[in-house]
Amino acid sequence: MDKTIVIGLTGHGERYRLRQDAYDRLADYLDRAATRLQSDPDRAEVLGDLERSVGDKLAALLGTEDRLVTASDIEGVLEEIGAVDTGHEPVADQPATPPRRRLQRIREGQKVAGVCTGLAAYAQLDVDWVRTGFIFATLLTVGFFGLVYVGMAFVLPVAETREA
Amino acid sequence: MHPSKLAPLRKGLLEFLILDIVSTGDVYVADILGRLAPTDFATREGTLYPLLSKMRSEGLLDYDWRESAAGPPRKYYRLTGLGRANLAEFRAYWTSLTTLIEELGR
Repeated sequence: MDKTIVIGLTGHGERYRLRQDAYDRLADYLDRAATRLQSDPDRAEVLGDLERSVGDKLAALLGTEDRLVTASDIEGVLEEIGAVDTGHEPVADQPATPPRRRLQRIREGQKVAGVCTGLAAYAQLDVDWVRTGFIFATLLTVGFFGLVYVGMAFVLPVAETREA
Repeated sequence: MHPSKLAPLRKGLLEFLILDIVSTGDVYVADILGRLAPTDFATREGTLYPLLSKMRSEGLLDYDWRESAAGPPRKYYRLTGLGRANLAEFRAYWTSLTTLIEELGR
């Protein structure tokens, strides 16, 4: 047997009897609306407006009929109201992962070939530390790290700026 | 012209059209939707309620609750002094903009 859920809607005295799937659709819509409105100081009021509107449309749809509200009833009503649009993109729709970092030479701020600026951007370190480390490593290894630098200068792709 | 080029313009204008509609006297949401429905600016409650709420918090309009014959009380919107001033400013700007477009394209 289908489960029936009895709900009230803001502004409406009547109770509505919804089938489980109809209730799920409505709850899902209102959850999304609440998420999109999260930065709106009048969020509770707008949600109330929307609920009142759902109630108006359900009342018009059912008339004097005393029956269960189905998922397709709710879908029709929500289609008429439309998804909440606050004019700016909701946070949830932004890409969740930052763009992938790549090891590359970076011309912006380079001293020699941009290897250190590239390493610093990749490792998210201050470029001065990377340069100091490179110079010490070169001195300690009697020039071997100097060759590493030259090798990297040849191998790594080049970017003009950190953002590129 | 690709329709998406006009989309941002249309989005920005909606607020002023709402000021225009509300300026005609006390209106409630169904009146606004009905006036916009046959136009390029047709919209739905999911867009309209957040926008009205934002415009109210900016002090452009306000509402009163009124009883309705059918169903629960409704919010009737009206312009505030600031809303009327904004609308007048927008109309003046719009006129100067259309004049400019005419002149530049001559």
